[in-house]
Amino acid sequence: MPDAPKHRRTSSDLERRRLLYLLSEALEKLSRLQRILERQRSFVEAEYRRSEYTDVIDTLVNALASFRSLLIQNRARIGLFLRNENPTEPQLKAVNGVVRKVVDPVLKIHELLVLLPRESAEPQVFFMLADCFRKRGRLPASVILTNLLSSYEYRVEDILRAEMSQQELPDLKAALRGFKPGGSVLGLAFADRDNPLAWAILAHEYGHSIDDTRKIAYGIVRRVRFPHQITDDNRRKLVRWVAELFCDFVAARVLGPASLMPILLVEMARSTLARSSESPTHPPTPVRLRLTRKYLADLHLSTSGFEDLFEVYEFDYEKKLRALGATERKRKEDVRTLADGLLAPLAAKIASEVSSLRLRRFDGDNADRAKTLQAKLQAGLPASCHRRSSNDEILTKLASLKDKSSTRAVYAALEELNELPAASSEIIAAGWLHKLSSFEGRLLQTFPGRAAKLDLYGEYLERVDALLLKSLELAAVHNEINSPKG
Amino acid sequence: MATAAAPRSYVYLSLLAGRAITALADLAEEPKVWNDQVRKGLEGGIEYCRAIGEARASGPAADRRPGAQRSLKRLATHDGKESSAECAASECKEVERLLMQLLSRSRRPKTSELVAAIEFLTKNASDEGSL
Repeated sequence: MPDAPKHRRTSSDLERRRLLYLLSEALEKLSRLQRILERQRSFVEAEYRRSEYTDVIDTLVNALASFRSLLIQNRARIGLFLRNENPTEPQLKAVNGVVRKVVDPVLKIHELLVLLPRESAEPQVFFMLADCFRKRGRLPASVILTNLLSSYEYRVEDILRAEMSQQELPDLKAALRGFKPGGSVLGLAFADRDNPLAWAILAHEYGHSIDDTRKIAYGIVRRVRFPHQITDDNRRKLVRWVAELFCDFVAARVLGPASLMPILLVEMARSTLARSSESPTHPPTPVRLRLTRKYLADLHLSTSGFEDLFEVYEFDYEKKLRALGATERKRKEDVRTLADGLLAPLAAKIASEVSSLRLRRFDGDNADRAKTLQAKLQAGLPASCHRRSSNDEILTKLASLKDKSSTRAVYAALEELNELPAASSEIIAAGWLHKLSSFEGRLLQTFPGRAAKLDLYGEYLERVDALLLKSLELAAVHNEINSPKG
Repeated sequence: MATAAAPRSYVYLSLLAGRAITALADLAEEPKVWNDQVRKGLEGGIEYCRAIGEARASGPAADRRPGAQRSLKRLATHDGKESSAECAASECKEVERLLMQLLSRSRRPKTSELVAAIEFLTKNASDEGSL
């Protein structure tokens, strides 16, 4: 069952947590964009000497520097807020305002990175997806980096077919005969190239690839008996909503609660619910969150360590809902009620379809191992492997050996020392648990007293990224060695 | 001093608003404080308000009639109720006026006024019109 928060938190507690997440998001995006621009500068200088790219990079670097100074100018009040030393109302409002004024434009700057040479995805992203979906060495999907912050999935053949039918190009249509589908393309934000924690969203996107191929959402909706006549438009909308929930369940099945983290943080970083992506393509996120949490509970998976963000997300959503005009708010509430009413009765059917896929399930043992791996990350070590037994159990077995123990018994005891490769899902879950439990401490170090050491937070992120990338890589190599071919 | 409003980028406007928020928070903490950061922050805030006002005037809601101005105190207690274009325009003018008074150091503001101005500047610039 999901672990309920120990006690009901006040709105000021939740507001503080909301602002903490937003501040960490501001620093994270600033740091990641800066890192991208540094890499781009090295690349451009080596390849092109002086070119138009250099000016683009300089402009973007200067823009980021201005937002860094804005945070530095407010270091004293941010420090006060972080230490929770009774900040006054203007101080709190100012921290909120300044952080907002950093997050919003930095997300816009991310869109401009499309002007620069495009980087490729890290190989570890394929290790992770292949491991989660039991597709060793033959994942039918590619990953490209994009300037959008939310991920997406498409199939080239679907785009070609749609384009050609819309533009009535019969000649090109004919050329599509015999076209060999190349699998799905998954879009990942430029900023998340080195950030395996954000890759959790790709499990959801890969779910779309499965759905596109097998038409699962369509099949579920086709079998629904509606009490009233339903228009084709509404039926199509429901298929899309079911597809989104199906993908949420796929991601939750292979990654556990960590699968929900990226979407919640992306949504919390947005300043308003107006113009949000939900309806007609996506059901409202609170509905998805509620049903996915129930799905996790049905799988007997603990969400301990993730509950804080779930609760703060809900608080943030309600706050943004209240900020809307009455008409828009009513529309959002109606859509939420409608989505909940339509999707909740279908959740069991969707769950059963996901079970039938024989995915590599993230279960209670994986969750326990993720906690062990989290301790490794906290100690600054890669989290790529684990032992089957605890140290105490191994020591007991070793101590039980006698001079006359058989060779088999000695090897059986020694075998316990063997390291087994961690599942990618365990590494990602461990990474999230580590991040969620450590970022506040790092923020405090970043704003100690009246100083600001923004680079400290960047170094922390870089360290976590490097540890997770190394962990995924080591686990993949370890798996390869252990495989019959290896 | 801020000049006449010209089309500004969203990123630049956000920076101006951020600097103005910083200046207002500095003044709320220490009303007598006066330095380059505060002065430039207030100037940036005025430029921001003018750009927002200009964008509204050239936007679809430009044909609205001029309406009565609401006090900043009322803005401070405004809790997300539907804000008409008219109210939003007067809110913008009111904040601009406050920033100008602060810049000329002609009066000491109340904390509630500073908080209301910070809240106005915190709003997303893209919610303020076609910027």
